[in-house]
Amino acid sequence: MVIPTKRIKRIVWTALLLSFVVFVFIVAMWEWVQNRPPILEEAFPTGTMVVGVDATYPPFAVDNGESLYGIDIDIANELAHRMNVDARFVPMGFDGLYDSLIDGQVDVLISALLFNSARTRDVLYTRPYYDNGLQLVTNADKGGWTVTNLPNQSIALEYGSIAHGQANTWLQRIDPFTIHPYELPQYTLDALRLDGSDSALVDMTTLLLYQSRYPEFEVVSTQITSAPYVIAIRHDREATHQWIDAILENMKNDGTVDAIINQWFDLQESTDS
Amino acid sequence: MNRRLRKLILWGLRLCGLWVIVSVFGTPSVRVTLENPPQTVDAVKDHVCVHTRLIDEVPEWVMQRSLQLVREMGADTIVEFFPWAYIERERGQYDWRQTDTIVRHAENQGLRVIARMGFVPAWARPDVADDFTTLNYLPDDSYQAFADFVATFAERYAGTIDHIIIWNEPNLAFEWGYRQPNPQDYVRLLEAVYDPIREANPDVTILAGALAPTLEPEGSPNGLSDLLYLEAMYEAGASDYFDALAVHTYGFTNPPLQEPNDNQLNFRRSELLFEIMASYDDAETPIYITETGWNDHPRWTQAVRPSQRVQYTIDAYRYADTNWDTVEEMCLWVFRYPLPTLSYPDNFTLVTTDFQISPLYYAVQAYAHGEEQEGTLWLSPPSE
Repeated sequence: MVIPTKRIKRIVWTALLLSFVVFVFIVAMWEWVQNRPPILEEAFPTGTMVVGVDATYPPFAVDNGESLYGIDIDIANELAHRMNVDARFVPMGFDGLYDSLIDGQVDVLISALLFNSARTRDVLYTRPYYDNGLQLVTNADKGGWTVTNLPNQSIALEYGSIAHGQANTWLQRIDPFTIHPYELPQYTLDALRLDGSDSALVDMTTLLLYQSRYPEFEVVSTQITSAPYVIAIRHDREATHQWIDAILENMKNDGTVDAIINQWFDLQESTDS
Repeated sequence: MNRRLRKLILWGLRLCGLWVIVSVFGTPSVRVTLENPPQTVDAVKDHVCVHTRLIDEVPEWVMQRSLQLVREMGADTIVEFFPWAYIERERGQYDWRQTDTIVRHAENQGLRVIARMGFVPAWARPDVADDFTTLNYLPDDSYQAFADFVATFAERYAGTIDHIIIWNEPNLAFEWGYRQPNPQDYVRLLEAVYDPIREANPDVTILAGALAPTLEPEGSPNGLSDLLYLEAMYEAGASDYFDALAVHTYGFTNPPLQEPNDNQLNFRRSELLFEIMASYDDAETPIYITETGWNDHPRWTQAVRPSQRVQYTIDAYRYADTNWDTVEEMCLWVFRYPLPTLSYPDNFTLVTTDFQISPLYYAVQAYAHGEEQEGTLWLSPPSE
């Protein structure tokens, strides 16, 4: 039997087309399998989120001998609650945090950690939940200052701190201003409150803690640097990272993260008023 | 002209053109010239020293700038690590380029170098497939190879580097290749290296010890108390195999004048080591404090405030100057890191990776030059 050339051509083309469709389907399935949102069991196979925390850093995490409390603890508990897993905390020293994560002793680190680009080979970071960058603080009646307001004015800061280094750098670039170094960070804001200095340069946590002590002290602050606090997950725990980052995003969007932070800095009343 | 030859010439011209383009637009290298005349340290205090971290420094100008700052601070000596694993990667094949550069620039700045030796190349360790070992793992049968290397080093730099520390903190499991620290083994290492080094450079001072200050008890998997370890070293006959003792002493959260105590880690803990030396008739042996200092990280539990760090460090120098006759040098850990760790170790530095100078640097500079600090470094707390 002789099959007409035209028919052979049609068969070949149909086979080719079918092969192409099958190929596209396989590729699409593969992509979907690779990129589908992970299920919770992949993120936390045991149903528990083991959290490494350095509980010596108020108000983020503190151990009173009986329990752990603070911003990081509340954030971890809320994350666990929303993911319907248990949270178990493993307190440890600051210098042991990353080793415990990399060794697999804990699932995540929620411990006021700064983003560290040098660790991104071993660790995945979430979006930040807090920024402890330097703030240039002035009395409210002066309005927000930037570095251009500093010449011929004074600035209070903690001796030898990051703020001191920052101010020394400014001194090399702008007209002179007076540095008032103090032994402890809270003294810098005392100086501002008691008119001993025109401005103060402190980190966000120092400012918020001080405001909680002196809620009537009205200040304006301008963010100078960024020091984002993030959650760390081991680099091969992509599913865990995706879950935590997504839930954290929700918690930020619905105001839960801010509410937790404000609660611990005791700012709720002043915010409401 | 032969067609093939013409083609060859054409390709040659193309390659030359490419080389010119790469030379013009490629990354320029910074030309570094030694200072002429060579510099000298003009400090009045002769025991100020810093531990540097230059071996991993890539750009030569950064190395030079670091050492200029060390000299300007008034330190006359640096301690630097010269890893065996970097220099003799293949047995008998030495790469001295980085060490030569460090030594050349230190000499040019008028700085004495104390060399710390350690880190075992892969060829001198057990086969990784058989048994995973770290760079700090020195098997017994490689003691001689280590001795040969250190002797070669001592001979090459004789007259320039005349102080050599054998190993670092052997009383810690981590520093002993994750094995139980064993003072007897360390003494055998000292014995193995002592004569070869001395033959290579008769003027060398061989430093032992550099023990980590730790309270680890006998049998701990992490390490062994520096006091117990030193005593065991003497019992094993170590005094015949070193000329000076290297000491690490950190203040942690304690002020420098706090009394020493067996169960406390503080600056004056080193006095307990001196007592052990004296009890073995070794009181006159020189001491080199090759690591000391305080940390001012805002979170590390072993840190103090920046203001305390400055005050404690200067008080520690004054105390050592007045009370410790046999201490030749007191080296602060650490001058600068090639890369920031972005964690608490950064808060041991005097100069940041990007050359921001800490207040401690200026305070040490004033001390080294005999300048009394005018007034206080910080203001009194504001009063209500």
